[in-house]
Amino acid sequence: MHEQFLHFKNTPAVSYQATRSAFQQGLLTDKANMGCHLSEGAIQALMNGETPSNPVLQCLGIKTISGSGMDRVRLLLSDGLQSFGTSMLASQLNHLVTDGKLETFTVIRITQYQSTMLQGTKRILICLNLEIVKKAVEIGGKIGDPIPLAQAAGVGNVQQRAAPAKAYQNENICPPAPNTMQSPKPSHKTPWGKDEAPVTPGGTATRIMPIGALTPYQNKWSIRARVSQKGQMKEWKNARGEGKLFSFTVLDDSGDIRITCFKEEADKYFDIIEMGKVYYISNASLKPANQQYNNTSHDYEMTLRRDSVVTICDSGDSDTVPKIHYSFKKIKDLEKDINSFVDVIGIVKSVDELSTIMIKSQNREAKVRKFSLVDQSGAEIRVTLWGKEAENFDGSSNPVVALKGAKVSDFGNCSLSTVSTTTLSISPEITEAYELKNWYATGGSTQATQNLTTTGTGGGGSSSANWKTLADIKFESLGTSDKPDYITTKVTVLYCKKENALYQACPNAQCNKKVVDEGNGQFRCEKCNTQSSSFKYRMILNMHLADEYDSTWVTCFQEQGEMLLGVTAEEIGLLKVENESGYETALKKMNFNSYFMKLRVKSDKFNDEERTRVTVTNLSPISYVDYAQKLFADIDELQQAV
Amino acid sequence: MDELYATPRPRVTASMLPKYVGNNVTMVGLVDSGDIASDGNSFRLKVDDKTAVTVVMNTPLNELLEDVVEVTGTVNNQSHLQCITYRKITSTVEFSLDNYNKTVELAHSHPEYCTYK
Repeated sequence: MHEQFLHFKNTPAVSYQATRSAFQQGLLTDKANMGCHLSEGAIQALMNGETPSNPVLQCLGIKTISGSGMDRVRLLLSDGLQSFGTSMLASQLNHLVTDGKLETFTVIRITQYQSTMLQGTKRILICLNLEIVKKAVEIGGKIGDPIPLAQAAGVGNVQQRAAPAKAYQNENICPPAPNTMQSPKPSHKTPWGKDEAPVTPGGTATRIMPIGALTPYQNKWSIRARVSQKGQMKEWKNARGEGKLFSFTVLDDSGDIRITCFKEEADKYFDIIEMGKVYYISNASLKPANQQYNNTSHDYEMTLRRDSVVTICDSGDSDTVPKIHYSFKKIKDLEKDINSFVDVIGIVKSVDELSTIMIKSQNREAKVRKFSLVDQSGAEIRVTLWGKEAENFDGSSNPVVALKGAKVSDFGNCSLSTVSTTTLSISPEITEAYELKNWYATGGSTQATQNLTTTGTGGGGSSSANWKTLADIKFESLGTSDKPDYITTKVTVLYCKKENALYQACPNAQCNKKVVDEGNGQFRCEKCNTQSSSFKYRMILNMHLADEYDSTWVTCFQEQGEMLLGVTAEEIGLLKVENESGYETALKKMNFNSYFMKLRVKSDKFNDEERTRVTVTNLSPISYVDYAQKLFADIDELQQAV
Repeated sequence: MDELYATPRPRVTASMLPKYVGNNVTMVGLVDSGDIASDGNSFRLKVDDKTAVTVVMNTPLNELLEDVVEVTGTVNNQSHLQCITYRKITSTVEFSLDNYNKTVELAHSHPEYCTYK
């Protein structure tokens, strides 16, 4: 398999930047015709493998080929002397045809193209970018009397053979013939006509396919594509077992596709796949795209198998694969894009600490980190990162951050959140990033910004800050409806009961059930139905909290308890056994300290007696800056009311 | 120094300075070590995003000032502060000059709650 890939080091595609243009060397001349210059001789030059820059050609025919997912357009192009029909329009330019800008007789200047050799004799030109020089109505007819290239092929062939080394290398990788753009159905014959079938000395035929043309009905293909998005490793567990997976998206100039790896492959490729790099990928399975998880335009998605081959492309070939395409929005304008996905670039102005929140609907905890992003539009927005990305994010040095496909939400009026398909690049090597850095260094850092996201919600680390005082619990009869109420408070710990602050729990990682001491050194868990000689300590703190208006007793469990005490439940457990006074000191340490706490308020009926139970679901140290802003907002509201 | 405590020395923002010419005021701002005159006779106190107030010393500074500084002084007719006393404010708690200025403004807009008598 390796040998096969060695061949890819040699490119079949010649980038237009790769060699100096024949034009500049004075080999070709333009000819005036009907007030319009065509690059006469450009087609011959192209066929010879040269790369004339910005050739001006006339379109003599357009054929739309409907394919899977997207249509492709095939052009018949003329330079006034010759014409050839093996030219494809990159799909992102299809609008030129649908808008009627590019029609028969239109004269175009191809500013970016890729010239690819097929079968050693046939050249495919992929137009990546072009300008309209003259509209068809202004020209009104065919310029010159071009001879179709098929008739002139003899000349081209001879010249091809004149460069045998190049042609030979190219044989192994055959770019698609235009008709592969048609979605081949199983009933169809192979998309390559007989004379186009790739022939290689070793008998292994691997084609570089455009991603847009991939279907499950081809075999022995390979793609050359850039990683445009890389997801996190995800683990799942269900009745049928457990495992892990990660997904990434790759693109070339024909489209993008999502690729997923499971278990061993996930482990194998997670470190290999890097954002922005170009890879050859072959021997993978294709299946219809699951729209639920897939936001690419492709009809299929790819799964890497054990025998899949992924090799990095670090030669010049990688330059021909398009870079990640951003269409950045100004932060100031994001308010108009609530609930849509946008690309944003900005400077990290400030970063919060990593915090943990409880996702109620899924009953699991998630790590989050929020930061503030600013750009030249003078606006500032809060961005939320999740999971590993939140843990690994380092924004301390005010880096430039580019987000692709971040979700704009109306949380806190207007904020950004990353989803599984969002790509976050820190200090990307693009012009916008340098402009931002420059702006930030020359005054941007001190410029007053308009904050799109309403603050005062920060600090609590809570997903939605519902500020209340402890007195409100009684006044507003919180917790008496079906659902519990969640409130955010600024409170001071008065006292923590030292009795029953800990219990002995089942040592099983997933089980926190209290164990029964059998009295013989064995501890029994009723839930797991197991006996063990060990147990783990779990915290259940009963605390008295107060604010300026009232006080209340609350329960505080493991994670929040450990945050309050600054030690683990295990350490406290040992302290309790070994050093009673040390244990008491540890519990007293937090008395009279103030925190932002998120409380869950729910009233229960217990023996016909209504009791309001208050639980600490999250806490964080007080951020005075945030709290002052909350107070300003409150005062503002009061003034409005007066 | 005693006479300082005999008169009010309200906290003011930069925009209020013209109203306090000839009076004692207190201002909080940021000092960059580069904003101190080489002779130590004056320094620039950055009191908000746009404004730096010149603080004129009676005796040259004999220490380096940096970060948050509180100055009490007399406003002269150029809106400079003739320094009577200053305090370096050191704290590990994050300080927001913006919040401070907003608070001062609020206090001035509600003299019924905040007086300097």
